[in-house]
Amino acid sequence: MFSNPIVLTVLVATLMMLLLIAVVIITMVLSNRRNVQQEVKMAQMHLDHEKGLRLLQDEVMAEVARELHDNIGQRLTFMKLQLQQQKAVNPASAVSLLPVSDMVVETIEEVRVLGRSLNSDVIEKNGLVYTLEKEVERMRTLNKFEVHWEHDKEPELIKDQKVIVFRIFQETLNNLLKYAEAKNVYISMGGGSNFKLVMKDDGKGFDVEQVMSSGKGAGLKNILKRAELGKLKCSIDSAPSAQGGKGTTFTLEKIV
Amino acid sequence: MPLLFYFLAGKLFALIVGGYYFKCLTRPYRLVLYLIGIAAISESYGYYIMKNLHEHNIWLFNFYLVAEAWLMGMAAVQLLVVPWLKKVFLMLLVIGSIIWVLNVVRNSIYVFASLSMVYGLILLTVMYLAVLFTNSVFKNKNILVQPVFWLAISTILYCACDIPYMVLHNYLITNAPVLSAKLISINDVLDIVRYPLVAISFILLGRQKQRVLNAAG
Repeated sequence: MFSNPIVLTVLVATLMMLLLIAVVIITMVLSNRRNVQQEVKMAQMHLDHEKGLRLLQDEVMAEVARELHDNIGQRLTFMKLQLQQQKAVNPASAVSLLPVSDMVVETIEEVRVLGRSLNSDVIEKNGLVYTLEKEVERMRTLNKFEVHWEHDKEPELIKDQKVIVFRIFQETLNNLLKYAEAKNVYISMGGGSNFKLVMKDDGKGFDVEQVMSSGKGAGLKNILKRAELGKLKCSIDSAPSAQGGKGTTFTLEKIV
Repeated sequence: MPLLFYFLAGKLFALIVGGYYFKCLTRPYRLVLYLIGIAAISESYGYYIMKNLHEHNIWLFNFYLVAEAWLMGMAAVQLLVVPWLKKVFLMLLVIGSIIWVLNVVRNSIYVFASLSMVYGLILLTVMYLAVLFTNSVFKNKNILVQPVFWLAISTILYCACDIPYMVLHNYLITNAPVLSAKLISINDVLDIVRYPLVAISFILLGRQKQRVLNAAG
């Protein structure tokens, strides 16, 4: 059969076709693999760059916090002492100096709280639960909404993740303050290996997709990017009041 | 066991998989699924005509040629992302149909439209190569998990490797029927390999869509 020239022609031609297809496939797969590897490398570089930026941002914030504590804080304390001295020297001026003195004391406290919220080392030192609790206390003093806060033990997260959770927490609370018009905010945090932070409000809600696509959601995108950097899963469930608004539920959890 | 069983096994497997993931399949993949159904019916009916009725079944496969060219061709057109290529291939499909009509009118419906078949095979090979190059390579996603890759490869493999034999098909049938009967095993093997590869593309597409649906809701 194989001595027949027709058979030989058909077989050789078929094998040539097969060989050609094999070459095409192998070339494509190899070229694709190279592209995929390059893409992965680029994504990794992008991630490293973002991480570097965040680290730099944290360092700058820590520096500002130190400056607030060491410089402005000290100056305010000095002012407070001078006012006390003035009141002692001239008791008649005590009444007129009282509002100034009170304001200085309040400013000292605010600078202290601000410094603490800017400095991520505080999280490492005091733990995430304590730091979030302090933020909750700060929110309560503003009397904008009722904060219901419950938590479990300290979550098992690495330092970077704790800083990211804290920054996201701050950003979300700021968003709540600015836009939500809520009466109640319910915050709960699961601890140990089951870290899950849920922040739910009864405010006016918003259209997540529209905000994200309209270019107004820079803060939200920032939150999502931070979560991605910290290998955390972030979800936002909300609907505007026109669509039967149910407030907003923000969830942040560890990717298992 | 008759060879028909092996032919049908691959097609039935692809049909079952395609049916299972039917809701997840996009239009081009559904067209391919319909073609597999037509192929299975033609194959069985052709076998029945030949074995039981002892009649020619070539006319059946001549009609199948048109169905294959249009269904596979339209699937490729929908998978293509370059608009001018779509137009060119649509025109070539119409020309293919004209060649088929001329071929049948000239030789009768009872003679295999070999020229039309070869034209179809070349056209489908080029179309699916175009699909492969415009869809997969430049997406920077793993090519082996893309359904379009497996669909295109199955078609290219079948069509391109079948061309040499099909060019000589009518000549061999007339002048060397014994040789032809032996050489047609090339077509048989390609046919058996083709459909499981299509089934892989159905599975990959179905799973991808299911993952998207699960993530959404």
